[in-house]
Amino acid sequence: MPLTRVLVAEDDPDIQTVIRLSLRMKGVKQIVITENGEDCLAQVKTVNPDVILLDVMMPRLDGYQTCERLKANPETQNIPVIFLTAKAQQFEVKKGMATGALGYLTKPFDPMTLHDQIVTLLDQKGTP
Amino acid sequence: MRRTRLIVQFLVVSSIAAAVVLMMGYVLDRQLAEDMPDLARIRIITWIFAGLAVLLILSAAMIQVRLVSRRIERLLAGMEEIRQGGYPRLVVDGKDEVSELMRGFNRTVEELRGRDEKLMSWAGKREKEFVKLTRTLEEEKEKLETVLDSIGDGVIVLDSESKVLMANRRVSEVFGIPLEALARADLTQLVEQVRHRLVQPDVVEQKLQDLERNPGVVDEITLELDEPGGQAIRLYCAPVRGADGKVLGRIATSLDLGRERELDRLKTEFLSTISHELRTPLTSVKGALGLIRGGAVGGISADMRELLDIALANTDRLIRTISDILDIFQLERGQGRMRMVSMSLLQSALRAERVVETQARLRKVTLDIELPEDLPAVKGDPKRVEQVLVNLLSNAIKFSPAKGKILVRGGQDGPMAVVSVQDFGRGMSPEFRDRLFQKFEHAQGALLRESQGVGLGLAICRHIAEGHGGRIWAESEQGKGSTFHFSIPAAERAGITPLLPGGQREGRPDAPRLILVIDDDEDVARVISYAFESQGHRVIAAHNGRDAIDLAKRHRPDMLTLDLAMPEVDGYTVLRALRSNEDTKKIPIICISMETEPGLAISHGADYFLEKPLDIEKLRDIADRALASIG
Amino acid sequence: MSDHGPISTEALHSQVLESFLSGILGVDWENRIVYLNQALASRLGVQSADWIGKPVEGLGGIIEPRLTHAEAFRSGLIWQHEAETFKSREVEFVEAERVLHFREDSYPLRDPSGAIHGRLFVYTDISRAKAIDRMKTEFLAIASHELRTPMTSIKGSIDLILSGFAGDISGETHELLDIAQKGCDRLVRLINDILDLSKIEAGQIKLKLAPMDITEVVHISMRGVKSLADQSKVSLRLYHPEHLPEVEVDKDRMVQVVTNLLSNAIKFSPADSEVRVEIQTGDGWIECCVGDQGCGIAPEDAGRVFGKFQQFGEKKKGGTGLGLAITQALVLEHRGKIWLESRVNEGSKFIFRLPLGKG
Repeated sequence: MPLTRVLVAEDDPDIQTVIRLSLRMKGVKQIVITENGEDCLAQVKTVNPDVILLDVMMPRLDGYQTCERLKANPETQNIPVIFLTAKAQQFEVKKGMATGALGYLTKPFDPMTLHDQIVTLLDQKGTP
Repeated sequence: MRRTRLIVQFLVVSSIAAAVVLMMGYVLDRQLAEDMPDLARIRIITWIFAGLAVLLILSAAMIQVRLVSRRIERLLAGMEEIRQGGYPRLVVDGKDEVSELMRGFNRTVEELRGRDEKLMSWAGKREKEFVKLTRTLEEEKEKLETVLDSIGDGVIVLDSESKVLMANRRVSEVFGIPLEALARADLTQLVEQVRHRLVQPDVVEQKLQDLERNPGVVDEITLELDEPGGQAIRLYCAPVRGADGKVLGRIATSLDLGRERELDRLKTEFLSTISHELRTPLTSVKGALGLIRGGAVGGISADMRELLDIALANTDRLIRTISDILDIFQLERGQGRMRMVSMSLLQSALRAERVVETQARLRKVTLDIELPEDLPAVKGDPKRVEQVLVNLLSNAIKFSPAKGKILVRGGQDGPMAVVSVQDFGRGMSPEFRDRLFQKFEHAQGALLRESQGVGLGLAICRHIAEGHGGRIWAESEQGKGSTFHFSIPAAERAGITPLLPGGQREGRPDAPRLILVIDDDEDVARVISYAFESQGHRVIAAHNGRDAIDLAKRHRPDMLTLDLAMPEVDGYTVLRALRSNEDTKKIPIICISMETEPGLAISHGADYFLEKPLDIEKLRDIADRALASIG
Repeated sequence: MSDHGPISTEALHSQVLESFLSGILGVDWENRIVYLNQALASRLGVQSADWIGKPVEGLGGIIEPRLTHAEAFRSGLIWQHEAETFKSREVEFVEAERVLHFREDSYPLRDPSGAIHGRLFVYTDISRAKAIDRMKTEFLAIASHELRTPMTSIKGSIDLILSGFAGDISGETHELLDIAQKGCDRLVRLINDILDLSKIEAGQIKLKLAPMDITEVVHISMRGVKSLADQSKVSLRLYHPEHLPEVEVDKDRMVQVVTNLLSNAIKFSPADSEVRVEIQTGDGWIECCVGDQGCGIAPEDAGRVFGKFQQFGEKKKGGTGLGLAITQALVLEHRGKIWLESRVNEGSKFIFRLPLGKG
């Protein structure tokens, strides 16, 4: 079943376009894109997404910190978080997962399968 | 008065008193003579005499005592003063005994003062020397400390009991122990401090123990720290000998390899950043082109499809190259740790095929993959194995003529499973092929050198293949094509070495063996034990992890079966413990569990895996194989 | 620390310094050798006892022939005016036909009262680290080529589609292709910069030096960035004295340096401001200063400015993140110096200085 609402934090405008088009193509109704971690946190409650896609390298609040804050807040800790980032070395992945993220997708990604990859991750871990 | 002796003084005083009394008596007598009869007069006068005499004598005595006691008091005061550290001089005149005493006292005091002064001046001299000596020592120490603190390396000096005699600031920084604490520490405490940061604490401890037993030896130990950046400390240990040649203690110079590796680390960080920086624009490229190709923004013409395919295939190639570059540096540093599991080569090949699909389609090359069904599972890191296959396929496609064919075949060669990739392209020059055949060095920098000889991709493949215990080699005929072979150990044989556990036992495959059965459920343990005993083997059983490890170490069985789900000390812990212990690490282990995923067990060191509920036949089969492989 | 008699301390003293694998040389204020440890003595093939108390110049006869740059020895002797500081430099030493690289760290040597009475030089062998580093740089250069090749196909395909070769394209398709093209251009620039930087750092850049008038370099650079300046409404002015001596530079590389500084200045300048280039000369040097009236750089960031991939402000204003690193490397390659003077909200000045004349 396609995702209904996705919240994204990504600072590169070109990649924002790609993500938006990619998810829209697969039928995601609401795609909210923010430029950095702070804006993302501000929007979480209003958007109430099925999943949050986080880039790691962002100005002000980076992806790891954003995830930590999301997980520290009882209102948002159950929203699955997936990192979408070019930072994919072993120790970076470990670090990311340690903040409580559900999974890790690396850039560059295939825009045609992005949505399905997210859904697979969500199904695998049996999220509500 | 004082000029005379006391007795004389006394006599004089008494005489005077007596004279006075007598005179008074006479006067009284004359007075009374007129009034009283003689006898009465004598009686009164005698009584008065007596009384006066006594009085006077007492007074005389009292005066004298007073005179003496006052001087005695002065003497006592003088003594007190001596006690307080002074040198009193009593004023003395007279020649009587007390005066003599007082003079004697004064003389003694003089004597005392004289002696003290001598002592002081001697001590003073000593003290000056002492101070000079101490200052020289201090200077030396300071000089030494300045030099040592200035030098970037750490220096520790230990005495013969391994207590820290001296350590410089750098040591404090490197070990993370404050300088004050260092001064009171001993070697064991130092090691404790860094133990949790060490990659191989047992090896280090062993080495340190060896050094302690042989203090006269000059040696070096490298402490690898489990921190990103690969920090390490190299200790050069040398004995410190006294003038007589006896070993007084040990000195260790710590070279913070982190500094040596700083450049290396910065470079690697730089590369990691480059990798990230390159992948970001690649994301837009792949993303944008992928969307168009996928029809996200409308229909596209056949020409456009082809152009997009070319662009996308090259984008993927670029991405792989970037990964390879990063890989090379990680592998160089030994950071590309591989996680070995039991895996299927066919699955890997099929996945690899999907990765190079676009590339193949562009060149109109067909991939014909056929691997035998009984090709055994292999022990490998799935991502790495796939990486090798992708590389081999990609190369084959590159060198294939348009509309060509690539054959992927497999087979077993002794303990190895082999995959072969054949293309019908232009083939390789003999020089290139020889370079492939050359032994792959594992020294530092070798991977880089290798890549300059055979290319990035192949260099990495060879590194991975050898890391698995396999090889890559090729056959080629110029103009006719090449076949690249990739061998990798099959899973069953992978965990077992020809060495016999225990060392002594030798035997034919059907000779009775000692088997350790580990299961917390006593019934299950009994059943498994029967299964083996009925084959003629000897069985011992353990029902918890602790006993298991204990028995394994003591009896060194030929084989083990291990239930993974046990309370308290669970199966995985036992597995790890057995694999890290010298005595037990080579014993073949069959893990039995209700889980269906063997990967975890095998990556923890299991050789075989069986699901519960147990099929006894299967168990026996595997056991036979396990025992057979140890010869 | 436990007390030991003077004998043990001396034993410790000598053992400690002698057990060092690094060479240690101590000289006093009058450049007399006060300490020469075993490691250094054996590398030079001398006995330390023979040299204690002797002037260090005396070692010149032994050391100089073994250095690849003989003047390194003499320049190392002149340290008094830098007595307080810690210095580090690299020295190349020839042994048995191999060139060994040493890092020379020097520190003040103080007596207990704190007064400086000499200097300590410690020589650590970094040959292996350097060799590996060089190999990596070479490798990177090769790898960069492997990165460039696919770029051609990617860029080519996109350009072809955009030019209408494969038929008409819709608005959205065009938009996506623009994104792809932008990404490609960025990639190409990045790959080129990486390659450049690696080559420079590996010392593989051969500068084509020729005496030049530096103002000519600046004029060329200014012409190159004119359109960028016009777009940003920033004016460019050059100030220089009447007569300027010629300086030995590699023209193309110097243009690269000035262009980089100018484009940075323009990017960080507000509209209607001026980017000033000022040229000055001094005793044996010529200096070029590129100043902007932008937001300035905070002192805590100033140290990172010449580093690789540093970002300042919200976003990287285009650029690869390597521009200043390359600029710095090129200036250093010209045996010059480059630095930053800046205050927050008062603009920044990037200044580089080049030596005049040879040697």
